Amino acid sequence: MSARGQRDLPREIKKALGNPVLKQALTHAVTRTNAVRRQVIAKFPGFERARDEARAIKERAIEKLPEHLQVLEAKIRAQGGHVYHAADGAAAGRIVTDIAKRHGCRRIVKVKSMTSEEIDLNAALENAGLAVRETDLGEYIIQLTGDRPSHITAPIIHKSVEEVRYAFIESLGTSDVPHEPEELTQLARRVLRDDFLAADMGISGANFVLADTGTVVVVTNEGNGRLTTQLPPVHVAIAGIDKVLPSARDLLPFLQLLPRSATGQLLTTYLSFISGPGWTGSPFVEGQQRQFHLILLDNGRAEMRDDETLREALYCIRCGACMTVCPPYQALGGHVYGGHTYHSGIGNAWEAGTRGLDEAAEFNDLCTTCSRCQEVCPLHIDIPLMNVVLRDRIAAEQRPRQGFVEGRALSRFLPDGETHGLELRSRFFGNPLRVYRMASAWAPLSTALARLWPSRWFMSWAVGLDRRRKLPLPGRSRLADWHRERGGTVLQTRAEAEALTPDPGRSPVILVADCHMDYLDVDVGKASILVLEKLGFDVLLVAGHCCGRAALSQGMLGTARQQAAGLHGVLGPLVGAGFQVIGVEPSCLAALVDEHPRLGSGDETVESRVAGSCRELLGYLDELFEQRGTGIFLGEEECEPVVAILHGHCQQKTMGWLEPAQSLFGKVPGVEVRVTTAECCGMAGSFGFKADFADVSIELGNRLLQEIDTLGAEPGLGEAEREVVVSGGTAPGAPRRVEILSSGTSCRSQIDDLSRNRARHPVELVGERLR
Amino acid sequence: MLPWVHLALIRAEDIVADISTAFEHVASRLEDGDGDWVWITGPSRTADIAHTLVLGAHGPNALHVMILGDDR
Repeated sequence: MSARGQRDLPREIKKALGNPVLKQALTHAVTRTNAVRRQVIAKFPGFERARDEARAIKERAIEKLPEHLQVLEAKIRAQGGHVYHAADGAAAGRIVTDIAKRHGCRRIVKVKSMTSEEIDLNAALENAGLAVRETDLGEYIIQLTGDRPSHITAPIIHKSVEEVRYAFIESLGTSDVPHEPEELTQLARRVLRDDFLAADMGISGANFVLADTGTVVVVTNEGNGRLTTQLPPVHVAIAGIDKVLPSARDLLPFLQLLPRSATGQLLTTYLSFISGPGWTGSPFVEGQQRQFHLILLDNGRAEMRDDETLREALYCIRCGACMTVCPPYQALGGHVYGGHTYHSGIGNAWEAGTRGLDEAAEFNDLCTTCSRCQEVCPLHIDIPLMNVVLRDRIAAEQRPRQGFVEGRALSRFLPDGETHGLELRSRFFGNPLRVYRMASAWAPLSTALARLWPSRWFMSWAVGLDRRRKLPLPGRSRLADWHRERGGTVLQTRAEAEALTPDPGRSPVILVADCHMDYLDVDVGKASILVLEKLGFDVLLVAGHCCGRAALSQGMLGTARQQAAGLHGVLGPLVGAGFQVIGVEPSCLAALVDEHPRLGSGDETVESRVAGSCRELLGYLDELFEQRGTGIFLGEEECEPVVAILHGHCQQKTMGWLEPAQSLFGKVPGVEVRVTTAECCGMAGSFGFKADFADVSIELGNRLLQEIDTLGAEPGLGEAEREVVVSGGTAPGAPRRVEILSSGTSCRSQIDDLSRNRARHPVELVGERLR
Repeated sequence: MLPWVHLALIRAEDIVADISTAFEHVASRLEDGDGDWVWITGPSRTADIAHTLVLGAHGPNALHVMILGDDR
């Protein structure tokens, strides 16, 4: 928010979205990187094991960090190297300057190091009169243009070839500069070769530091790592203390994870192990003893270690996978979605840790908590949860509670469990159940009123609702009422759950009615119940409790805990009695399975028992059809052939629930399923409704629609005919109707809002094809 | 690292099956105080400009491996 600090985020967003060069460069790079990474990881069966091993090693490494640092220090000294501890960037700058002075160094070459970017080391060294040259090609261009990296491993991911060429023209003072990446690279090689040969100090970062053998590990592809650390007589390595691994034996899983996750390589071209001053055989340092200096940088890391939320960020191995899959990053790049040094989701924690909460507050709202990063992070870091905890802290720091208004008036309608104040929009979007209840009580008047411009204006003023967006509002009828009226069991309180005496002969199963399904998407709920009943289940509907997902995304942790506890109050006795719990909305179900056990909202045993009893509807159905056969389906000849475009909801993909859904449609007659690859529809709960972010959301949504368009078209269709597919109905020349399916409430409302299509929940199509 | 072409001579008996075995070897040598190693998997490369792969960034543009004493 602009009110928060120095930056005007909405303006930055507009500028980035209006920049076609940025869009082209970013889209090309992230699409390729993600595709290659996926392929390489799919071919490596040991990936999950390496992840678990690496995570365990990192947890141990950070837990006992002071001990490992002692071992490391002693070892480096024994090998003839020097070790320094730098509390912050200024200290690190002084240490390097002193080393340069002592050895008479004047010309420094550097290999890419984000740690050095973090502390603006180059500026400090230049101020001390030293000549500094970045030698990683991307970093070199960054240095020439006075720019900042926008990705952790691909610093100029935001630049086009022409922009790079222009940087050379400016710096070399000649327009005789080639146009192709290949020739530009060779030009940089020639220029930088002189710098390497003239340098008297080389500065590197460290990808890993092995304590027991005193070894710095550097991975590079260009070879500048070797030249920087081996050619000049003095090598200074600067490493954050988080890079220390207890032992050389611990490194293997990290070598298996880092290159695959970063660039989709099995290994990088060069992997250097440097223990102390090393070889003295270099012809360039004849007669001199080589020097090795290791600077261990704190700069907030020790405090991050003591912080139970930020500690997890110290497990980060800087592969950048979380960035290329991050939907807002894909649309905006790292300059908008990032802080001083670090970008995207994980950038929140690193900026908060190294520069303070205010730096993270500038861009924290851009995290939609979609969880796509969580899936690819090789270290299993829960980035979304970290970001909502920071969101909560930002609100606590910036908004004192307004006693009467918030304590009495507002919380009567939109209650919360916070001790600090809340923006009205957080309170509104974090309370879907209350909002639906009020709107439903006044329906259809509420819906009609909401469409009028004065109400749109009011909503935009009061809760920051984008005026282009139509807030989906419920009708009068609720799923719970419908189910009760037809004789079904509805459980809304703990007492009702405890008093339940089900008829075991009727295979009872619990279905959780999330707020959206209960009030808004009643048809989805009806279809789910009817399908389960056709399979012989007695559906017991748990309703009237929000899972807390929406509050969680707003950073309203206290509220989310309260809401989760309410739901667990009902589910607790039921899972205690051994019931299976079925969920439909992926983000709500993921809250139960994934987030609640870590939120600490109540009884841990109940939480983990509930988490263990939950099943996602489509996967559950797929398993049932697998066991019982598909005899319950209509015959192929009785079904209209359709092409179903299945868009995976973010949490559905992260939790591994998309593959079962795909497998399910392999069993449904007359359906050819095609799955989208877009990470996110862009709606992501309330994100797309907010005026500040609607442009980002619409950009991402339109990308998805384009993909749906391509997927839905029968091969050989022309441009004009494809448009017909997107607008709904049958494409000319295509005998089959196109259905757009998505399990996510947000995804469906995004598709409905941006196209003339209506997306349905997959279970609705399944239901139509049962006998 | 400085020349344009790198020719590596390798004894057949030094070839190991996989990265785990190679790593095992390096880890024990590191523990024995033999501390400087470099693994090279191909020619020097970059894709920094417009995500286009270019060989011969700062190091060799080509890597040739000659295996010695392979009786096959």
